[in-house]
Amino acid sequence: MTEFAEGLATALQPSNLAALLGGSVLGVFAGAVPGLSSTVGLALVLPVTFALEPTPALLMMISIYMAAEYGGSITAIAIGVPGSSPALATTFDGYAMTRRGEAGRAFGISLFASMSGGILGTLLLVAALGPLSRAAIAFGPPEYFGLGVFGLAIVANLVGSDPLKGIISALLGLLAFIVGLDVLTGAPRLTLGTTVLMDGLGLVPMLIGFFAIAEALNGVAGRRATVEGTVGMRGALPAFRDLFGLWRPVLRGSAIGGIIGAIPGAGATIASIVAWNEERRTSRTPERFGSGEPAGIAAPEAANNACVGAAMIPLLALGIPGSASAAVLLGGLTVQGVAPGPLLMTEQASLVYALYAGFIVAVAFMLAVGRLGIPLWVRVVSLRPRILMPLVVGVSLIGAFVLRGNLADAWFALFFGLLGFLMLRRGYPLAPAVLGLILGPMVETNYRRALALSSGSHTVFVESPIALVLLLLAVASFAAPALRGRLQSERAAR
Amino acid sequence: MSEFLRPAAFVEAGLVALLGAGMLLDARGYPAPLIEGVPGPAFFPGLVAFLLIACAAVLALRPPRGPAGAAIDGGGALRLGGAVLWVAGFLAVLPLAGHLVALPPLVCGLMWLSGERSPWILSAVPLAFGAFVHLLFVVALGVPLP
Repeated sequence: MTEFAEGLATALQPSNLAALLGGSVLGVFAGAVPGLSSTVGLALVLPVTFALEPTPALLMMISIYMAAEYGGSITAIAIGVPGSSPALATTFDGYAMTRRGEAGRAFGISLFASMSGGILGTLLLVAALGPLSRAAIAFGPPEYFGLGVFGLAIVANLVGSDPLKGIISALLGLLAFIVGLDVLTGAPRLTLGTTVLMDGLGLVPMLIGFFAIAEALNGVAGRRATVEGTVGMRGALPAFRDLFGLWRPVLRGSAIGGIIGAIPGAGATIASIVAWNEERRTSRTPERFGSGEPAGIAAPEAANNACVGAAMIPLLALGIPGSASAAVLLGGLTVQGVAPGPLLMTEQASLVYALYAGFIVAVAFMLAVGRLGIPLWVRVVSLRPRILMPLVVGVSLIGAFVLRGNLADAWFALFFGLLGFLMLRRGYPLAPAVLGLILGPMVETNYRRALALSSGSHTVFVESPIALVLLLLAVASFAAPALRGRLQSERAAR
Repeated sequence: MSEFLRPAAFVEAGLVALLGAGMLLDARGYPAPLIEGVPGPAFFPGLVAFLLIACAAVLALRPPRGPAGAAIDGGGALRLGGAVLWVAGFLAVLPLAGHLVALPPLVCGLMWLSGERSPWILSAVPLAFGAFVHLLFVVALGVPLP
């Protein structure tokens, strides 16, 4: 309790409060503007965090992550376009309520559910991080290798409709990690004989290129139409009794978000759709869903915000980012010299407790920024993409440069932006590539270290129960989507 | 199924296979393992290269699938090419001219390529953006920019 009080005191310091507030404003904005998202928002703010101390930098990032999950619902409710994909399920009932003249009530329900989901997800993080970190302290090279392979198997859940393209994307990420000097021998690999590639391509240029520049290039090539905001704060805000009556959908949505969010690779979009579907399935009036049912907003909004805290569990305890946003957060942690993993709880406990408290404060700011800013946000999301996207490119390139003061990083960001644009156009998902770049070093280095310790015997991976279980889980995780698809097609054939 | 999809799939497969082959060639020059029986620096690149080539083969040989993504029309491709060249030009000029001079034309050009035609917006927004970046990074955060 003392540690949490200290963490709260840290989070309440003026500079940290400013970071949390700024993060909330940016997060709601990034979540609300279609084409941006929590991932793009985090990638854009990454360069700004370089100049900050670790605590405000990370508090700003978690605040963005939290607020963006709520922000997506603003456009979903106001104009029927999800600001970001986790708000997709919110459009089903949210926009229907708006058309019925109950926009204010829908906004209020979304905000209440997002707040509740955010708090419950944070409580789950507090409860699970310590035990998981303690269990992971026994990890050596074989276990880390198993963990890395398990993390890579997450690709199976991120591949989208074409598994082969997802695997190729992950392999491209592994290729990108190989560029540079070999960690164990110092041998240059794939450097094309140049010194500029010896430091490697870097995670941050890839993140900025893939998630910010590629999106902007998409806007230039496709000339995305302007989003027309048509609705302000029409309709009264919900009464307290109205909100309290939604405690069941909120709890169910939070539980679903907490569970799915903690599974690497699943993510807030899946969680919110599952939550909406469960709510409809268990409802006595399922026919009302899709035509403006308040529970149809409460459940998915609670779910996607509960995912934020839950997604931090594998990230902080094991160093495994379970989503693209978590991968950018990992980039932020790395830049700040914070190494997520089993030792984080012991070596940087004060930072972890500040993050716990920061989550709660971030939820409070999200509530304030969300409530006070709804009319403004509805106007802001109408900002023309042809103005917004060039600004995104400008900030991205400067941001890529700022990390190491190296112009090559800005060139790499442009390269990854173009590559990401082409990959997206050809149906290659980007998240597996990011995962490949992040987990490649963990897999290769620990594989070679483990074999060096066992004099080249592969039995080291079987003798360690943890490594064995992780490798088996990896196989299961990789095979599950394929088996599920096969079962579904067999069922459909019958 | 749409026959026109095949050439694109072949080109993709060819590029992926080329990457794999390039990695294999590069890996031939890496030093030998330090300990016998323990993989050296060439092992992992070789494995990734082999998997890339295998995936390329499957990509080329499998039956055609539905459209992979939204096609870019001629105008879109021109705008995209123009945008990439414009950004590359910005990066080339940045160390010589500095961010205050180079950023406004970058943003102005990209806005024009994106379809913005208002002279007021094309001039005011880039200038304001340049000033904003300077104030944020150089003045507020103390980060030196070119």
